[in-house]
Amino acid sequence: MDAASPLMMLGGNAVVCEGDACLVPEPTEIAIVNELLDSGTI
Amino acid sequence: MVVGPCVSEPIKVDIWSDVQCPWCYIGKRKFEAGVAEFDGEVVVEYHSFELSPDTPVDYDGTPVDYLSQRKGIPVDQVHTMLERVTGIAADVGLDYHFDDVHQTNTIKAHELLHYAKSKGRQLDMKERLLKAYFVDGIHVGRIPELADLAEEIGLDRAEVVSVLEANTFLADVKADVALGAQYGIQGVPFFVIDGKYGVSGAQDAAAFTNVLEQVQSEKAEVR
Repeated sequence: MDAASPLMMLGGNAVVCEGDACLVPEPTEIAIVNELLDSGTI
Repeated sequence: MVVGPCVSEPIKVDIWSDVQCPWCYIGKRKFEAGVAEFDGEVVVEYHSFELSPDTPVDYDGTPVDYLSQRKGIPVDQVHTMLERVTGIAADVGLDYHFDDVHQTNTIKAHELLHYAKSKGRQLDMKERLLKAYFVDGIHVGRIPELADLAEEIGLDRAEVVSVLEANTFLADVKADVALGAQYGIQGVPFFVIDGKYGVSGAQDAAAFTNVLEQVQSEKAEVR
């Protein structure tokens, strides 16, 4: 791989490690909207 | 390195990960389970990510000491965190022993992974290093132990010692770290699929399968 292009994010939130801490990131607004769409709420 | 049955154009998956990242090993197992359910070919390449590059090679303390002293997390809370991770690891067949873990600097382990890649053995080396750190309690920051692990998987011990002492693959490690930063990767594991899609974290196996199927479908539409 040589150069990085912007990535389209797929999948939901899951645990990542950042520095010494590992945690589930807060859901982004897009993820929240996707979850509402998936569940048929909106 | 190829994983999975060959039925269509392979999907490249680049994975940023660190040897001392408990969720990277768990995520590796979940990713592999997801690939096993995917009806296609996947080519995997691991890339270097240093979670804690300022850790000394011979850190004098346990992971509990490390997390409590460096992060200011109460000891009881650290124990709870590690017990939780150990339980989740067990769910995917990994027998973590945090009491035996040697907290260290992983730069040499990353150099070894690049050397192994040059020999076509990166996946085997990655698995051995993760198991060494989390399961076997082997120090993965020092050249003699790393050379032993490399020899275990059939690599040339003397050559490993030589390239690690000479920092032959240090530039490759730094290039991976820089590329990860360009992608905006802040935490690991992080999966870049087909150079266009990002998947963050230790997702469930089904999530990986779904993403691979989605990418395969999109690639088929383009053809």
